[in-house]
Amino acid sequence: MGVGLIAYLIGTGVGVWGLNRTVNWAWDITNFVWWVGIGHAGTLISAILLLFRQRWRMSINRSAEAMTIFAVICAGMFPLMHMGRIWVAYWTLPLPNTFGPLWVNFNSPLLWDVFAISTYFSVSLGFWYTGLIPDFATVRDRQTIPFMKIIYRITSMGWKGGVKDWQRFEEVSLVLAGLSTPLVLSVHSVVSFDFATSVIPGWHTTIFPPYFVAGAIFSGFAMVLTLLLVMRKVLHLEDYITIYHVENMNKIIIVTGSIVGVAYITELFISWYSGVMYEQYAFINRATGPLAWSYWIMMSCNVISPQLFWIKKLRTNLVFTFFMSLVVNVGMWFERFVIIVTSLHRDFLPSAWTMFYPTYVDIGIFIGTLGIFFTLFLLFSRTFPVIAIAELKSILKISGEAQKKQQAEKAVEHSIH
Amino acid sequence: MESPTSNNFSFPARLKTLSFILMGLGLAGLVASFLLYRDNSQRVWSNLLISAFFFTGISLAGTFFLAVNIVGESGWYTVLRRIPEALGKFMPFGLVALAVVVITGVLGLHKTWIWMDKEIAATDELIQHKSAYLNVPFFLIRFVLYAVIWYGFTLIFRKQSLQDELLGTLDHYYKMRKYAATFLVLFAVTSSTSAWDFLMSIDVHWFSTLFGWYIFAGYWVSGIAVMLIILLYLKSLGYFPQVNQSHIHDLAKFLFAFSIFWTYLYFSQFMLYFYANIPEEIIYFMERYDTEYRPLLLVMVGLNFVLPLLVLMTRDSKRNAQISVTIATLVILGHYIDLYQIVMPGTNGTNFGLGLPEISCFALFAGLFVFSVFKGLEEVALVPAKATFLDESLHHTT
Repeated sequence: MGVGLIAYLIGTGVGVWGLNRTVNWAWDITNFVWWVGIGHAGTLISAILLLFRQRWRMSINRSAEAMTIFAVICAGMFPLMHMGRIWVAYWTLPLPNTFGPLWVNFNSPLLWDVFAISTYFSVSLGFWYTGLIPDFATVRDRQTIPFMKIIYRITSMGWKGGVKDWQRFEEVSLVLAGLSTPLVLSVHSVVSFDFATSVIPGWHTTIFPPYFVAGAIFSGFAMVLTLLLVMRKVLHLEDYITIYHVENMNKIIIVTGSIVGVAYITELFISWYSGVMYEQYAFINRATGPLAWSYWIMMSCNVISPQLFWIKKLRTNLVFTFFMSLVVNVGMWFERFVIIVTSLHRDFLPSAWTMFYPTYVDIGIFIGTLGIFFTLFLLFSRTFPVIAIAELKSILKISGEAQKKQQAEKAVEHSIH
Repeated sequence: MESPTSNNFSFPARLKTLSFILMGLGLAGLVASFLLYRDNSQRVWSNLLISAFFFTGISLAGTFFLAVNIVGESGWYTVLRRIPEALGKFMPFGLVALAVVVITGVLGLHKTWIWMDKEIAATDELIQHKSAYLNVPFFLIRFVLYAVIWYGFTLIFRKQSLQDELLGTLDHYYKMRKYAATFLVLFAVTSSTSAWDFLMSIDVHWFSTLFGWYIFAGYWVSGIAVMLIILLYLKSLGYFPQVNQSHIHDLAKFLFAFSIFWTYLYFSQFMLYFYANIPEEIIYFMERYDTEYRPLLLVMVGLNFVLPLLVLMTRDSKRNAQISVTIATLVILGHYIDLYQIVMPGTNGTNFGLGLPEISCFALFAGLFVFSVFKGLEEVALVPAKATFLDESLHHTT
């Protein structure tokens, strides 16, 4: 359905979306920001938690990184669709061209987005694939079907598991981790610049860059939880993805959710404090206007309900966590919707005020990207090692439950003899 | 450093003398400044605010450092946790100094916060609009709240830390973690509002949502730099034999990373206002860039960003004591200049310079800071004999 509607959109033009003269950005950019945000958790887990020496990341990083890549693919589709004329998409790149002295607009944050997202995508892909190579080799060595063996032989790029292989592997991993840390922060900062560099009330506020990054990590972790809790059950990974992992992710959700909450309240306060009429109205309109329902969904899903995770019983409860992860995903989608649509639909001139209603094309394309995302993720979990085997091996002796039990038994035996 | 090492720090006489000299000269200089700048005492008051806020911030950074590490279940810092604890010893002095500036401001002795002036407020619509928040009683209530929360938790962490060393049990650690989490929630609010109160309300018409986090990042980096310097200084005297290269490397990594974090926030705030170019907002940067403040601004960004970025990038430089201390010192200087250019344009216009008020205020507070912090280090053994996670910390390698 998504594919059909995208084809219809490209064939007909962007007019089939529910946009109008006043609300000239709505679901398209909401979905874009939402998907990019979801992508952030993967890089956070693999790069930033690596730098902070958090070992628990190892059993979740593979899937989280895969999720990052698929989410960024979904995100990237929206600007392409929005161009209307997708066949000239390469015009966004600063290529020397034959159109005369015509260059991209380097002053535009939208162009920075092109750079930020494409760099982010390539580095994430490189990082993910590097980690996969030794695991592919493991799969290759255990493969009995000749055809599959050939496939995994190609994907593992001749990995032999020698000392030199590992040394190069470690070097590349460290460099890529170092590269992706500033990248992950910059990507969502640049996304926030799309809004914050403008003079639209409700968009133009300096807290946007760090607050968008925190929000992105928040939503990303919610999506990781949604996916992993299902995967854990279906693929019987209970020994690898334990309650401890879930609890840690829930803690990150409390922290980032609270940062987002502080940012909401700061924005609200400063909009009043600033004394700027338009800023004040933008926030009054958000909370009490015709789209107030979306504002209160955002507030309750993102700020209020995650606070329940302060209770240990709830944050170690899998059903509740799964439910909350969906709530946060919904809340973060509405956050972007609130920021984008409520700021636009009642702008400076009351005579130009309108309402926004999505069309079936808007809705269909969004559902379509959800479909693409889950399909890619299912393909991934069907064919790829979903847990970083090689990395996990390195900490099995220190953290593995079975190992701990064995050692405890040994200790008991020693004391008996 | 093969001198006989002791786990009990004694305040070196030379450093103590130095701190007394700094305090004495600073105090004398301060009195002299008030006499010299009789017609323009505002410059002296502004400098008092800058120094008091700067060193209180460093002290607060120590408390925040403890809270974050306790909540994060981190172990590596246990061996050096006396240092952030000792930073808290300055806090009462800093808070008293801030109280003096606030009370004299309320009494009208200086015009650091012009919204306190009833005559100006009567003709200024924006100040009237903001008066629900910016009014003297509420300002004082907030100030008392900050003092109670910040210093209260500083004392609690110290007490709990000493208890932890007697008990060394996980149950006690869980109790500490509850306190730390409570502090972090309160700090999330007070760090922003205090920055609005003391600093943003100076330029009373101006506003920025990011301001609180930017100010926090400034004193957080300065605090890390101070901890690094104290650690390396004590190590050079032969203390802390248990602290190894990895601990130093970790602190230096923080210095590197949070210098970039500070720049990120500074840049975000500046770039968004520069790009949108709305007069009410960009005026703040024009007052600082299109005036005599420009060299200060550029030097500040150089010291706080370019220098740590380029020099602390490599592993070797982070593990080299001389390089780390040099950069940490320059970063502290950079953040002092940052605070200077935050406060001065709004209170003194372009009437600034490196004169007696600047030097004496800095000397007075630096002396007081050194004295109180090192005195605090003397109180108890440097490395706890028994503490949760101590073993992890002693075997820390990266």
